[in-house]
Amino acid sequence: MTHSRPQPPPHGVGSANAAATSELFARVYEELHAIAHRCMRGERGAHTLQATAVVHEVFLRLVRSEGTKWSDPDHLLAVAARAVRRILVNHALARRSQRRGGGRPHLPFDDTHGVASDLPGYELIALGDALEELERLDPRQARLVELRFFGGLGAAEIARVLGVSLRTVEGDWSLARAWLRRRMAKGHEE
Amino acid sequence: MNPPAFQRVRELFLEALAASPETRPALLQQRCRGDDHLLAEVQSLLANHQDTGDFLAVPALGSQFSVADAFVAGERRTLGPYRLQALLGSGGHGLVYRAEHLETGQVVALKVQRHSSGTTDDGARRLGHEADLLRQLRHPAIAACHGAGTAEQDGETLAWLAMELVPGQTIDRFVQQNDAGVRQVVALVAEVAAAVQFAHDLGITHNDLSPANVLVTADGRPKIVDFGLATGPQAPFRGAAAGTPGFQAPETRRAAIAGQPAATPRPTTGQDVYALGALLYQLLSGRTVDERARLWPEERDDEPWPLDALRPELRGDLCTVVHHALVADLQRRCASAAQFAADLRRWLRGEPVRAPRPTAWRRALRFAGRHRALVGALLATFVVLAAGVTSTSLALREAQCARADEQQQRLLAEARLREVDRARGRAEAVGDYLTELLRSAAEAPDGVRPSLETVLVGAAEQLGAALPDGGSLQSGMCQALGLSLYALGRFELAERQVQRAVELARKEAPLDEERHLSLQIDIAMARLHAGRPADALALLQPMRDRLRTADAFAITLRLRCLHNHALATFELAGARAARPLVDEMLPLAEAMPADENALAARTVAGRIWSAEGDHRGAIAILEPALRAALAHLPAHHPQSLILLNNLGLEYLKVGDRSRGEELLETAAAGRRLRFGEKHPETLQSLHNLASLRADQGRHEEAIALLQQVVDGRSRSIGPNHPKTLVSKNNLARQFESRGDLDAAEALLREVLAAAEAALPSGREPLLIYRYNLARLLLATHRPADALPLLQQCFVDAEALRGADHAVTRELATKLAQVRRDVESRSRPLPR
Repeated sequence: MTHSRPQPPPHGVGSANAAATSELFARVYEELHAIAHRCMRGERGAHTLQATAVVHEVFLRLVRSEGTKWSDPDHLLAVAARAVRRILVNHALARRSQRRGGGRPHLPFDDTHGVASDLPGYELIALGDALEELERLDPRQARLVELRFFGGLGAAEIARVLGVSLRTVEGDWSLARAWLRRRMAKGHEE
Repeated sequence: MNPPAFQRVRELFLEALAASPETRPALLQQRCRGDDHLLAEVQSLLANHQDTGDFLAVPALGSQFSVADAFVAGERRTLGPYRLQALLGSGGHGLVYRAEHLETGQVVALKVQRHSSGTTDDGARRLGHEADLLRQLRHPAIAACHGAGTAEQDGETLAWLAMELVPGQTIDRFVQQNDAGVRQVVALVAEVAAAVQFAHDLGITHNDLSPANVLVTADGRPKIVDFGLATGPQAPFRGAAAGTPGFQAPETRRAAIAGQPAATPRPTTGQDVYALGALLYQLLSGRTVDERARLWPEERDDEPWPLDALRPELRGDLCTVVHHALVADLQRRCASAAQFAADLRRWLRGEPVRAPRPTAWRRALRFAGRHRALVGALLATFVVLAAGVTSTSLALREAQCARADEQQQRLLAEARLREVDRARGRAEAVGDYLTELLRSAAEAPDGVRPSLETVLVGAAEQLGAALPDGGSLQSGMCQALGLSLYALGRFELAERQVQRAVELARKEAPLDEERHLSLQIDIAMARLHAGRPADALALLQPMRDRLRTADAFAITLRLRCLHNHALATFELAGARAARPLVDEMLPLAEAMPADENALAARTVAGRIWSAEGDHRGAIAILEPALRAALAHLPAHHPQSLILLNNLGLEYLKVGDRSRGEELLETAAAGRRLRFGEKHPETLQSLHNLASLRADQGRHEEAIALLQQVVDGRSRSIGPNHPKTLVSKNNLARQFESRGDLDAAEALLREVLAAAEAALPSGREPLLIYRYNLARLLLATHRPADALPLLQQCFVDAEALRGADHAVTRELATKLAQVRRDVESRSRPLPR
């Protein structure tokens, strides 16, 4: 299975913090990924992994992490949301390539959650692409989608993490949804 | 589609969404007048918005999922006798929660770490050591321990440590937000130092003192937290290098860089003393002590910039005490935290301190010792300077001719060019030497504080007297001094020194024309930067013609003349007027890509392109110039800093925010260090950073920066200088977005009045200031007051940009709308 390298989140930190941020992202990503993987291989037994169980695990894993300092919990939320995005999209990609290449039976990550996304895997891939494009036009809107759709955060929490007003969040959300929907419906633009 | 265009789409989309469906089409037609692409884009998005349904409505991992649950446990998670409430952050190791005791209800800061079996050095054990240490450390300025233990969770053992929850903020944030004065900061650090001594007396060293580990309560008491790296009788040394970068003593830093845990020395109380000094240094100056070594490793200096070079008003005893704790040599460093605390308290009481004072002379000697080669080169440099630009440009001219000749000659020419570069490097070294001498010149022994000018002129006389002959050397000295003063932003003084250089040189012999012209350009530059472009032009105009007629003149001289000429013309008459000059100088600049004058010329060209709205074109000119500057000039060279700054601005304008931010921040940091806070170039950088912060919605930061810029510019170039007015205008805009409309209006009126008095009517800034005021008046429902302003704006826009320009058209629309509004208001209300 191949994965694209995790990218650090576009957080408004200076270059001094950039290294720490990217290290933190790599760590969270790794942790989440390891958990997802283990659950899919059925090491935890037959029961289906619930999404809340994922976050419970993340807690325990992060407690173990040493040496990384982050003074801002909101920052951590943004990092985790981005990690969720990366994992889901990567799994969808991996599943697609397995279908094409045949061979090993696929392990549908989203299915393991029982309460998985209403988006089928191929749409997750399209969403990932569309988000990358949106990121170039307005990074804040892309982060908002990440926090809302992948991170499951509420509007007030998102406003706090992004440092903007609730109204801005609502406005951005309606535009981002409309833009992404159109983009995913018609493919590349311009 | 690019980011700025997308923002326009966003605005219109949201505006249309807020309007009722019936009024939408009309609104869109009106707003998009003429821009069919924009109209189609927004309409398409609105249509998609109506069909979104539950697209993305449910989070990917279900409606119950939230990453926040991973970190904030809420009611669901208890740990030992505590219920977790919220994540406070992370300590050095593991997580720190706010937690409540299940029985007593006591709220604590709970550190949580995992126990891993099989290793001797795991988090749980360390937490146990920390608890042991904290139990001994009962001190009002050290956060107390309320207990420690372990708890089982999902088959794992977690260790916890309950500490006094300090309701407050970190000391650096406290100082910043409360705008704490010097005395308050000193008193806080003295208290911290006393607590550190208390620990030292028990044989415990903290090893990681930094602003993150010193909190201040709401009533202003400091508390040291996080003894996670401490060593003491109950907590053996584990080989981990102590300290946070920026607060590590040189001996610790070297051990950390060496990266051999086995060789890492056991931290000493000296590390804590150094960290206390570094803490106070940072709180007073806003810089960390290692910034110098990080930014300019070539200086190979373990000691930070003198505190009084960053904040001259702190010159004297306080500065001495801080630097005593920061001495690189452990043997000469302040001996204990107690001694440091005692000296700080002496200073607070106005008593003499015990820390030995480095005299100006000793500091100068230290400098000379460090820069032995530089000082040795001084004499040679003066000779070069005295022989003047003559020899330099002679070599260059030969090089230019040779370049056109055969290939063999070219190699020789290149060798000569390198020689010229070295000579120029030495000339810069003189400037650096004088600047450093100035920084080193602390209080003189008799207590009289020498002014900038006195030190520089004094230095000139002393060094001049040591040289065998007067005239030409003295003249060269004056020129060097002028350039130093110029580098310090004292443009008027610089002009006077260079003029003296001309007089002195003339006394000796009839002045070589080339040297004369070179000095004239120096004078013109000083005038230009002092905000007198017309006076600069008066010198440059005749020179340009003279230089053009004789191509015998060095190409560098022509370039210097042209780019200053272009800049002065640009400031006086706008971009269009400066274009012919740019067209003349760019081919010259391209012939010698790495030359400083060529880089300056390209910088000016970039500015003019930018002013004409061609930002991609500006980037295409500036990007290679910056690369050349970074490759050929010293890292912190003023020209590189200018290029970093200007290029950063261009990237912002084409929507590449991250590259723009990175470049602007690098430029601002460099200028702060290179020039200090009050230098015009630094102020320019702060002004630009403020624009960026405003753009990012960080309004309070923008306001703080702009206020600093307005103050600084008012003092240095005057409250009504065009640049000061731009900063004031931006400040007003920030007041406005904060909702402080009265302050915004007062300031905008002040700006407009000053601009009207200073600028010929119809100039671009006037249009902008008027429009901003009109907008504010409209926003506060005073269309009748706004109407005459808008009318004037429309007239000016038509003249400046033409009737077809988008701005002119928008103004016409707005004007008609306001006119209707005013007329309908003036009609009596229907009964």
